[in-house]
Amino acid sequence: MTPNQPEKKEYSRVDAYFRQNAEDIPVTFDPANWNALAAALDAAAGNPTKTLVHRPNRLGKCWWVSGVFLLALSGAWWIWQAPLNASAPDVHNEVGMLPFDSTELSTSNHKRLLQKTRVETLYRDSVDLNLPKSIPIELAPYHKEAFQKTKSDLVKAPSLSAEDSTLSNLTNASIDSAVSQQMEKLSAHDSLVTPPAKKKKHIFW
Amino acid sequence: MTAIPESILEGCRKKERRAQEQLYRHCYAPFLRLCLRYAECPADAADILNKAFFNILTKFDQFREEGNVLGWMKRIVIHAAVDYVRANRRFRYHSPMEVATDLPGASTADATLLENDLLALLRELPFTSSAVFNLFVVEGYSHREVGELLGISEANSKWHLHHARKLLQHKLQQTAAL
Repeated sequence: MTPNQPEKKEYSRVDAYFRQNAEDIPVTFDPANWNALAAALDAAAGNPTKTLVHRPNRLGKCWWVSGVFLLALSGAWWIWQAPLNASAPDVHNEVGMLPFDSTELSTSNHKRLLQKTRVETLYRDSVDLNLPKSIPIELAPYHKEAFQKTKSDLVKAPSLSAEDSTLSNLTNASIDSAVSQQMEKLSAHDSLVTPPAKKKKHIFW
Repeated sequence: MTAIPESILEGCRKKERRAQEQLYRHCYAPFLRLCLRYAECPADAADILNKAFFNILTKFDQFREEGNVLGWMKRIVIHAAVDYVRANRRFRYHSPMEVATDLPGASTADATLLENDLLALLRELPFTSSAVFNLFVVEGYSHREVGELLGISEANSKWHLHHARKLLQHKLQQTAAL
């Protein structure tokens, strides 16, 4: 017999007493406990995120902030451009320029627009040379068609006089040949003929 | 505790509120008695029971051991009670029983009532000693399991059991309950 055995035997009475009486603790059912549990179950079933740790929706907030920033930036750009547009001369209403039509900027009409620009350039050059504005220029059919595409009034080009040194050889020629010859003369001025350069896009826009 | 009817178990698997209430009522008394032995007061015991039942009812479909559902539920309740003990054992006021019985304000009738109350005896023990005594003596856990549950060593569990037994025996001998 080990020395601990009398102590175990002695304590076994304590253990037996608690084992017997542990089931005799008086208990009464309280409906409030079930109501609280049912409410917790309803909350967990209806909104599972309520039981989890609350995490702020930083992604949504980031979208809001970026959206507001872009709006503010575009607004600032518009405000900055407004006085420039007001002070700039109306290029499209200049004498000799065709009315601007935004539909011409489409890719399918780019070729036609380029051709029209060449005609405009030639006409502007003729104006710069102080040619009489009453000289009628007969345009080729496809040029007329291009002009009629615009919804504004057609620009009447000045007719050419026979004694004019610059365009004297064009009196009986069609506008096609005149254009081709003037293109050769103005080949040095490529910058005037080349299509408008594309606006350089920022890498982050 | 009587066996739980299969209709209640099937309803709980389908998360039917009526079956859940029947299961709660069926197991309320034995599980609340278990919680009362660990808790400081009846309100805390009800909280422990509700936390345990919340886990039971929300994870009821995960139970696969057919026929041992009561043991599975009891294990969850005991774990909830142990969580309560581990969270609150540092905040329990403890006065030695010898000093408590000698308080001048305690009347003889009140002292007799408390001494005969098993819960009062357990609540006068230190929190960890009371929990070790309950787990080892009443629930039947080994010292190794008690140590793992409470986060103490096996030797420490043995010391707490010895301390609890000594205090309880002294108290019971004083009241001549044994």
